[in-house]
Amino acid sequence: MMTLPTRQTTCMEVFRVRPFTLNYAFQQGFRPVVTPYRFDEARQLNVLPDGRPAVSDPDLLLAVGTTTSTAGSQTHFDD
Amino acid sequence: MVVAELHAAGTPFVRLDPADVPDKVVLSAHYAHGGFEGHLSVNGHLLGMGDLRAVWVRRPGEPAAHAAHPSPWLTAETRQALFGMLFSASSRWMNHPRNAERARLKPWQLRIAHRSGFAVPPTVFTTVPHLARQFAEEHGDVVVKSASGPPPGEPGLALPTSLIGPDVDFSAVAAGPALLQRYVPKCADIRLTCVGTRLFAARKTAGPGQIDGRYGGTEHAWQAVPVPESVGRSVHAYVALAGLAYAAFDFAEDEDGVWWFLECNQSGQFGFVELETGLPIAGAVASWLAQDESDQRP
Repeated sequence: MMTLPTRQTTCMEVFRVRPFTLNYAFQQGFRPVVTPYRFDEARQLNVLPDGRPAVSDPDLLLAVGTTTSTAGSQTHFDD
Repeated sequence: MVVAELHAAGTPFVRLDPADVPDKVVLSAHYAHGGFEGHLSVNGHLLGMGDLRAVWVRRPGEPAAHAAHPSPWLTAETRQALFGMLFSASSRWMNHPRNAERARLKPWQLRIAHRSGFAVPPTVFTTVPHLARQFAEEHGDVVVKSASGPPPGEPGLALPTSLIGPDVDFSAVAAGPALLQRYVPKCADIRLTCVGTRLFAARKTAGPGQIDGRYGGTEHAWQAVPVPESVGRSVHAYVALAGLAYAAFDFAEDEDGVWWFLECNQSGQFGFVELETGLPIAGAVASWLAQDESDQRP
């Protein structure tokens, strides 16, 4: 049967300690992603420099992988 | 990919980012005489709420984040205006924000997975060190995973699902909830994408000792696989309970072929699966979005 403690540590003691889960975090290196396509506002999709839809080059999409988009979905090729 | 399908089918659509309100996206909603009219306009594309059949929510930006003078207040006002108007329309959602928010909660996912009949590894989410230790002693090989992902604002910081070594000091569990789960020695990762009632499953053989399939490349590729009948029933039950029109399920396949539920991502990516396997997921999404109210297909 599970029992919960009535007291563990003081608040000050807890906040000096890094949460357990973060002990398993690591830096993997941040590389800014440059997507080889741009958003075409008229056609509402991502296009390659030559104007073709980005989805017409699946090898390119696979190579680029997903992007970390901070501007909504416009750079994500799933869409 | 979905946009290309919508174009091919001749389905009219408008694509916008809430972050672009009000500078690039214009909106207006009128409530009078017991009626409602609303319009959105962006990049020369106009949408009337009366014509709106479906809304596809795909990584929207924070409302008004790109405004010339952004502020928390402007974000709050914009969220009220935009989503209040969209919720006033008679349209389907993939997925409705209210259901999506609940669906992101991993502990809740586990409960729904249980109720849906999935195989779910024993899991504890606790701030009590001795309960974490007790769980590890009971289950032997245990992994720790983050419920919400790496801390935001720290680019390059990875927080993979990790196997806990022996004699771990659990005292830091008191500093924040720790999610521990019995480790499933897997032969493969399974990604099952559910679009409406259509299911698309792909399998990738796991690398030796690979714990988190998102980290570390292998020479194996994703391959389309059939969905076991029992898993299919559980998926349909899950999305019904969760109120989801789209969901991406992650499973670990063990050496007996059992698919163990790990998580359900209500906005999980599907492009990589389709590009490697040819599964027509984008087409399924486009078809679902294009249905009108008279179409009774779920």
